[in-house]
Amino acid sequence: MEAKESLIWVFPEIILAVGALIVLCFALASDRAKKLGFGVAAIIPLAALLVLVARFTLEPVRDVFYGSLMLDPFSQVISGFFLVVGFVAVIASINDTGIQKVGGLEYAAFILCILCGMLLVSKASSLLMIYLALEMVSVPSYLAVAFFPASKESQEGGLKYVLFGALTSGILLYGLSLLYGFGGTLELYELPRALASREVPLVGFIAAMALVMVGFGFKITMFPFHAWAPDVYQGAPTAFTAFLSVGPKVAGFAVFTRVALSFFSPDALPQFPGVDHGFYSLVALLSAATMTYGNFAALSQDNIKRMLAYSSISHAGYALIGLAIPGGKGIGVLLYYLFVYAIMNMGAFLTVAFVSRTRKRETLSDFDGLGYDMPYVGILLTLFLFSLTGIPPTVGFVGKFALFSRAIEGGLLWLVLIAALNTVVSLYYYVKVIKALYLGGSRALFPAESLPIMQSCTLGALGALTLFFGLFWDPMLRLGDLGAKIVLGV
Amino acid sequence: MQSFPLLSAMAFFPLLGIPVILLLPQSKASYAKWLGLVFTLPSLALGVVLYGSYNRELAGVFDPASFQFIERVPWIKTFNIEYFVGIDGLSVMMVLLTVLLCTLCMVASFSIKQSPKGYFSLFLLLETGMLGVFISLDFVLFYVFWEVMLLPMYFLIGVWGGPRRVYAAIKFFLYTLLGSVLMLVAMLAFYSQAEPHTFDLLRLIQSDFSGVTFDMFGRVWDFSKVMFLLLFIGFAVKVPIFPFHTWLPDAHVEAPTAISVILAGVLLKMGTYGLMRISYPILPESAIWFSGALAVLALINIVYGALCAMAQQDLKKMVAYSSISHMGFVLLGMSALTETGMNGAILQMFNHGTITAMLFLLVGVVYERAHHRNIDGFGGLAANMPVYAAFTGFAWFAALGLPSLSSFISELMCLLGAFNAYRTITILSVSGILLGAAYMLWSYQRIFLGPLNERYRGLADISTREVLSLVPLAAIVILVGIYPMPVISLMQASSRALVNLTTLGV
Repeated sequence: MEAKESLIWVFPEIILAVGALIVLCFALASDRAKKLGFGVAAIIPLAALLVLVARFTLEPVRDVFYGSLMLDPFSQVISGFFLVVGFVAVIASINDTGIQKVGGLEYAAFILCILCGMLLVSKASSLLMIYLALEMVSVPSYLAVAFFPASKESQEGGLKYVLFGALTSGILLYGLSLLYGFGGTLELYELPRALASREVPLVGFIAAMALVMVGFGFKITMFPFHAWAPDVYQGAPTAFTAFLSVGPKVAGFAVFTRVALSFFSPDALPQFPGVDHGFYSLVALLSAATMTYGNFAALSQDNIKRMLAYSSISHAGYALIGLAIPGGKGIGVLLYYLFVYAIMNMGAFLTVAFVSRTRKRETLSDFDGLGYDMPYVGILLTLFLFSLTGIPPTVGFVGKFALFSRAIEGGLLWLVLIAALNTVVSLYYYVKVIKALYLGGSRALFPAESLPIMQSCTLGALGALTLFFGLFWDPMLRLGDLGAKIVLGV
Repeated sequence: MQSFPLLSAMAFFPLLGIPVILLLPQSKASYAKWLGLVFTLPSLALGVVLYGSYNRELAGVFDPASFQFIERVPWIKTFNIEYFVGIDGLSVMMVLLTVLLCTLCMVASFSIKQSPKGYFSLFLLLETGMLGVFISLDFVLFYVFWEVMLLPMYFLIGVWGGPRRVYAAIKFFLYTLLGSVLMLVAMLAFYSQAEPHTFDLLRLIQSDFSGVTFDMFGRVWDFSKVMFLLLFIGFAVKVPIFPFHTWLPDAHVEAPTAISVILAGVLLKMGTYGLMRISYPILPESAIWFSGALAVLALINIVYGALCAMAQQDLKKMVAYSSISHMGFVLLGMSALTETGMNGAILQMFNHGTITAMLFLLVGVVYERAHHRNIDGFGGLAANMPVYAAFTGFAWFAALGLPSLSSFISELMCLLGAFNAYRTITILSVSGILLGAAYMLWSYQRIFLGPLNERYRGLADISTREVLSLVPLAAIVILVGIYPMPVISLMQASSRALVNLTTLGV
């Protein structure tokens, strides 16, 4: 498709990119205009979402920008999801005094840039575009993590993120270039056929895929490439952690899924019999390792942000179950789980963001008696934590239910058993927080503070969704299944 | 199909009380207890209606046509899950027991002073969860209620409990969640194995899982046995069956009195109820295959529980261990797979519910006055608290199985039912009754008889409110002990059907 025709299909991305620039301009203006800037920043993701929904197409649109991008239900559903997450992230930053002090509009502009990158990631269908889009997500993320110049943790987190990120980007690029070298084409969907026609050695192909997986594994905090996450999540502004643990991570899942399915769907690589089976087994093992590591490491954490960081590693492990179901049969539930995870994880992090802002720290003892001092916050945090554990009637239960059910149908009973036992382990550390909220000895150490209106609406909405989708499962499950319509091969 | 959704009304009415209680202004928080009672009574009233209109001829168990008070609404279409409730002879007793104990426990909780709004809201949520478990006929619905119950229980133990409440609450939560996630795995495995995919318990009963195998860890496993084991662990934690019992003494001891009553009176029954409702009918061959092991575990429960009870210094702990022993009789009755044994098991569930409730309420009475429960720390209380001593004596005798009181009948039925199947085990189990008499009488002697401990001369006798919460239970214990037929006839048809389904496949 020519560039001119292609433009229409990247209209949401254009809105985001232009919007980010406009918002940056507001940052230079007077205080009064800045308020307007926040309004603009919040509206931009919604406008992009509107365009996306209005132009939603079930029929895949291939070949956008000469085959760099492609639209299918998978990419569009994920894009829509990203825009909602981005909207929440912008809203959540408005009342965040910590971020506002340093420069709220710059922060909002970062979010919009990252969003633009994430949308491109979900659509990328050429090796080069995959790399560029991921970098577009990463670079503003590095900046946002190191957003607090006065905070050592923030600086340390930012630096770690840059170093790890640069290293794994390099590895990813190396893997992608190997694939290009073997196949002679950048287009993802041409590659399997190209590899077949060129008598590529199996060892070379496996090496290339392994390098690519390192790059994706870093993004999704898959064991053993998770090591950056706790420090970065802890150091970053908590509101950004909420976004980072959901947005860029899901973007990583999206591109991992697309690449995995294009190479490892049945009959994609007839010259390497059994390689797809090996891949799914490997993902299953990595899934088990990721969730187990995340949960056990979270057990001993005293800092709640750090604990939630490990918890989000373990949730990446659960989500990987969806990818480990052979033949891409788990994509629907994988997406569903990611939606679910986004709701409850953002809820938990944003609640913690508020508490740590009022109490200056976020260790367990800072939460003592919080449930009595601030009942609304206490109930919401309890709800999110129970949801993360997977206890009905919350949406987290439904997520696990759907994942486990599809995995058992796919013959992964052993993995489901491991995941189920992991749930029990995770209960222990989630309940440690709830224990502090309600069962903690001391109370009223801190003055009760009321939530700013924006924040209380955002959190209330996330809490309501946690319960609503926990009772009425169908709408989101259908959305996940819609998004599972992914284009495989040409 | 009933025009009035009796079961839903019964289960969800308590839920309506929660917003009302939470909206109470803080200055009027002490009214929460009255509201709690007000929102429990309708369920009790509906329970009376249920008892009156229940048709004793219909068996239920596997036949949708003979379930009563059925309500069926599609809930989650993607997974074919329904809101499907109904009762039969297996559940009707448990439903009645639940509404009865909840009402009495509301009365017994009137002395709660610390955050009453939270306490009574959570209690009402707990009641909904418990009733939901007993009326659900869809596995997912069952599971959701089963889990929903955990949350209020965690807080009720953890916030309003004794000195080691935090430890006890988390232990209870972890153990039960371990059991329930294994049950979740089994449930999903049934779903994917059954054709067509369903969570409807009655349709799962009709699916045949015998002979199905699957590969895992490089081995071939028998589907039905593995699933039975997963479900068994899930239910065994709740009963609790040795060696999954260690949460029980902690939770029961630390929980506030009324919650101990609910734990012992209702929650423990869910384990055995689950085995009857789910494991036995869906996986009959495995049930038969495991029945010998179950009988052995029953024996261990009976004897080990009794020996532990005898060794306790803490009165509440003694009662807690006696529950383990008495639940062993339920297991023994079930494992025999005879009609008598099954009837005995269900009746024992009911009787243990009423009797252990009395025991815990009575322990609570003395604890509220003396602020300790050390058996050796009293002495001669009978002189000071004659009415209390009389009630306690009655409950203690009921618990040790005195003829003409209810548990005598059910324990006898369990033993009789099991005798032909497992002679040695049954004979050894009888020793549990003997041991029961020993620890009960011994503790009674140490607390009530002998010279009065001067420290407790001023202790007030049992109050009217406390008597009110005990009298209905005592009346039931006597009535069932003398003339058990009205109660046995409630479950006879169903337990016959369950035994026939399991042993003969019809």
